[in-house]
Amino acid sequence: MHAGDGIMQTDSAVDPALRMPYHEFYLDDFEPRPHYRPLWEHIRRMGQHALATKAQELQLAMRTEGITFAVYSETEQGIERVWPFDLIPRIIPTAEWAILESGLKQRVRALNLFLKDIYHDQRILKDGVISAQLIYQGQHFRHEIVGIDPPHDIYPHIGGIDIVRNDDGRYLILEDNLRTPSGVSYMIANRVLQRRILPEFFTKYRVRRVEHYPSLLLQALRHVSPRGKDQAEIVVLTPGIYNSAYFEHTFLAKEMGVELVEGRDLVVKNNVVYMKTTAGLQRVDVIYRRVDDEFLDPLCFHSDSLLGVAGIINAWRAGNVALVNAPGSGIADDKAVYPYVPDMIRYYLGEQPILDNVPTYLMTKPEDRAHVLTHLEQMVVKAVNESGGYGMLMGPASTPALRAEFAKRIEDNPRNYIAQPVIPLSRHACYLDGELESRHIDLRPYVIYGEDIDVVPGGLTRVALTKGSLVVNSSQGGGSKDTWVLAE
Amino acid sequence: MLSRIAESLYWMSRYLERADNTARLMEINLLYLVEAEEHLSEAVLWRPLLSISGSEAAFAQYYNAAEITAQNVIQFMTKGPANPNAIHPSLRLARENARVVRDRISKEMWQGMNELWWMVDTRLKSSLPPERAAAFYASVRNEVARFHGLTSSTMMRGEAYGFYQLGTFVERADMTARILDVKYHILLPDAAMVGSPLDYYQWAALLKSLSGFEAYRRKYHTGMRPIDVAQHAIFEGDFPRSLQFAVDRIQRALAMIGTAASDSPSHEAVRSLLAHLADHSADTVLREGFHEFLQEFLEYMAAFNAALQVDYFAAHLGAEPCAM
Amino acid sequence: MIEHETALTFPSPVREHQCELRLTPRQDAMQHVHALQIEVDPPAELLTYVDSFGNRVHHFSVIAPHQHLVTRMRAEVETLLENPFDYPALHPAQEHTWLMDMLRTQPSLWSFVLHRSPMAPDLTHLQHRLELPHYDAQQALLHSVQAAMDWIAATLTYRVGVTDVHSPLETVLDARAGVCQDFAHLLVALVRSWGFPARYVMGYLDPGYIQSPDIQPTTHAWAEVLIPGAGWRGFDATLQLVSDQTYIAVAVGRDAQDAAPQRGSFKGDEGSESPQVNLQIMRQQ
Repeated sequence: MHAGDGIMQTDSAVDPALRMPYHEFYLDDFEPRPHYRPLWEHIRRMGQHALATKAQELQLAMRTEGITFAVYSETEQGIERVWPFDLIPRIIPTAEWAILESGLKQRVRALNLFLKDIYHDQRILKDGVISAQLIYQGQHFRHEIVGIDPPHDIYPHIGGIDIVRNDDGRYLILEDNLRTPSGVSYMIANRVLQRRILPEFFTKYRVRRVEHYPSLLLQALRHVSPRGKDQAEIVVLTPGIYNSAYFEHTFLAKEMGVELVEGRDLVVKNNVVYMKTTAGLQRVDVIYRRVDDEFLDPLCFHSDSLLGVAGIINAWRAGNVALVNAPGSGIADDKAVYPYVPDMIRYYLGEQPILDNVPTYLMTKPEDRAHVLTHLEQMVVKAVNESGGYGMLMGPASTPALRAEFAKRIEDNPRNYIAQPVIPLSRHACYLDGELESRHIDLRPYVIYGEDIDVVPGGLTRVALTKGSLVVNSSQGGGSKDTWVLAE
Repeated sequence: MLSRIAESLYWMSRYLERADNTARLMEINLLYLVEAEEHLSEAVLWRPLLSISGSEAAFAQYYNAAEITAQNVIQFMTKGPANPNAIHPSLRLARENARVVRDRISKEMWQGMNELWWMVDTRLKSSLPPERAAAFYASVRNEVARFHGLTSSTMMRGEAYGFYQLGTFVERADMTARILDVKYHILLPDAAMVGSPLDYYQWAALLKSLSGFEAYRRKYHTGMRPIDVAQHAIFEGDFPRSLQFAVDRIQRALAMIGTAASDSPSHEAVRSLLAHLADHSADTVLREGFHEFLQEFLEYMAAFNAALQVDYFAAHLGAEPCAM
Repeated sequence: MIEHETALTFPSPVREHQCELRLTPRQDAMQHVHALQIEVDPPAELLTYVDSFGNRVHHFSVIAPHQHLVTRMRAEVETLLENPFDYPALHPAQEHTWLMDMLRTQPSLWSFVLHRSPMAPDLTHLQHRLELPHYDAQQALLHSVQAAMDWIAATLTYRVGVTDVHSPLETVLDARAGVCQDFAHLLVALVRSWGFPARYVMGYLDPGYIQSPDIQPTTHAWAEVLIPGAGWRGFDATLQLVSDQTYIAVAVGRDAQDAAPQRGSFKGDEGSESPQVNLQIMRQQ
């Protein structure tokens, strides 16, 4: 289980061969970590046959409930796959979670202040903390947003912050996702099914609940209604049934008891957004939009897109509708801005960051670029605005041809890339094909910014199902686990 | 509810009804083929079917100089693709619309729709010769009937159900009027022929294509008289496939939807339809012109469809915002 | 006094039409707008805001089906700038410091340095076809800008019909011809390639100044460059002039798309809407 796979080169002073990934489940070759002991003993008592049966039940349940996700490739239309779910939960002790929670709240608060600042006074740019050039070269910095005041000055109402655990056991922030982060419905589905199929696992633990996420979200959406929270007509705006996250859009709309709409169901009249109903036009106050900025408003963003609603940005500017997450938030999850988030925490909050970033090289910095180009084999190179593991070079697993291609891309467009030393993601025990195997995992907690900032206890633990792989994204063969945060 | 969803519910049931009616017509015509006299050519037997669905031109284009044969018509009316009103494309569209409204219909309905689609799609991958076609059409009718049964027993009554009903009965009224117009004209091309000896089998076939033969026979003991057939197929409010029944149900569906005022275009249009029926009887229809009566009926139906756009499906184009 | 009317006709009725107008001459130290009136037909409520470039935008929606859309603007404008060269000149060596200061205190100016689009692209890729004018750091920026205007006049011919409203600069350089929009874009792209802020201006030209029979009263386009020590100054590459009080600026942007006098989004058949534009400019002494 602690074999050679998964050991990566980094530029740490320690001999690379000795850098073993942190194992979440096992303390050493024989013993589980203390908080996993009750679970481990239970699993051993269950035995192979019972485990195999439960694993099958889980798969069947996922299929019956229709918990799928769509994967798109260039050659074919979306393939619906059953959500891959591992029956061994990931457990986070109370004290560890307390640190994560406060670190996440701090980070999101700073990111929000950053967004407010760069779309208004731009003090952080004038004070030279972040290069204005970097921001203005950012694909997701939208000049149309400058000067607009979103309700309660909140931009990233929903954040999915990706966290990894280093080989020394420290949690690090890997990435911020503030545009249309997804995965929440799977987090809930995982918990619901874990409870239903493996209730006995829960008997030894007091696990904090996550199923209330939709009601937390609903409250946050009500909070930003221009007509006040008691008069809030809320809708979820989806690109439609061919979108890979469509299942989640319908799930959230249903759980919150709000209408699911597409762009063509809405129309703007005199700066107010309306739904086209059989009883005529009905005013809309809050739009939880899962359509990207560039497709959101064909009038404002010059697109031919049929997914959006012409005039919606003007309605938002006039304060007649709330858009969640606020357009323009993407500049804060630009990977080239990510290295500055600790600076934002210091600048806006006057605090030291509770959670650290992964060390990151900016390709726009000549010294960084030079270093990375000579060490590509040990680096993870990422395109600054991609997600889902696309546009990424995994150095140690790459061919010389691919590395050469990335080197050229970096030279051609340095602003579009960052690089990080390969982080040996922590590993966990997974039940795969009848065996307990170790795989790399990460964590995506969800942060809701409403009247307060709330972090849902746990989140989505993603598993890189391919042996030795560090790529956890579902679209690239990743799976998931139920995530337990223990109550006091 | 969202206009788009309402319109999808409406078309889901309209396409289902279209497939059902087409299957019914095809089945009866095939069975009649068995009973028919030898001097009647295939073209004579099958052309009326093409007229009913208004696809004579499309058929001629697709098949070039080929004749009207049972096999060609079966292909054309079942599989498409040259005929968008064929059974296969109609069911595909019914299912596409069902997918859009999936969270408005019960799980049983969605599953039922899927099963119906898979059955038809799979079966149509192999050939459908005349001797096996009748059984296929019977299975389509059965599956649709099953779906209606599921709907009736699991779907919440309310606005959504109202649009579902609307689609079924608009399509049924439309199709019945066309069947009557074409078939009657063939059987009684001249008003002067009223009262002359008629072919029992042909009239029976007409009634059977409306699934009204047994009920008719139970009610009318004096044999096949045109006036009785007209009465039964048009004005009989208790006969589920009559025009009267369909328009009554349309009115009920509007009431169930309940969002438009009583002086709105759709309510006005349905009142016109009811008045058109109330102003006539089987007797007046035969004397003044069967074809004229039905054409007028179809015009009122077209007006009704336009009114549906104004009141429900594109209400936003003219409406003022409603007060919250 | 300016009267600007635009009429759009569609082959079949369109609906859910959202329209934005950038027609109002800008209000600043050099231009005063005294009376402003905007009408639309079919009638619609006019709403307004100021966009991120400082342009006054009017907008409205026409939801019901319609086949014609007419917008009419009437305004009285007074222009004040007499001598565009009246400013304390800086030594070339100081110009760079001045610019860095401006960029630091107004980071939004970076938009006008960094923006690249098909209409105002990165010229380095096109360099092999043309000998582009360079920036001379030994001289004031003004000198290089004027040299660039001379170069453009020598390189491009004013010709209607080669390009349209959406044409990329590539088309202009291939044909070595275009209209005022294209001349302006080329100047903007050049100045940006030297690392200086330049922006596109859409406006009107006082008719008394127009002498060429080729140029009808129409919206005109030119460039503005941030001249160290002076601020934004206009440069008309089409007429090879520095803009003065005969130029009435309406809207600015990074390129023509940002400053379009009218933009709309609707549902229905586009057809080829070629708008009928009727522009009258009357000068009062």
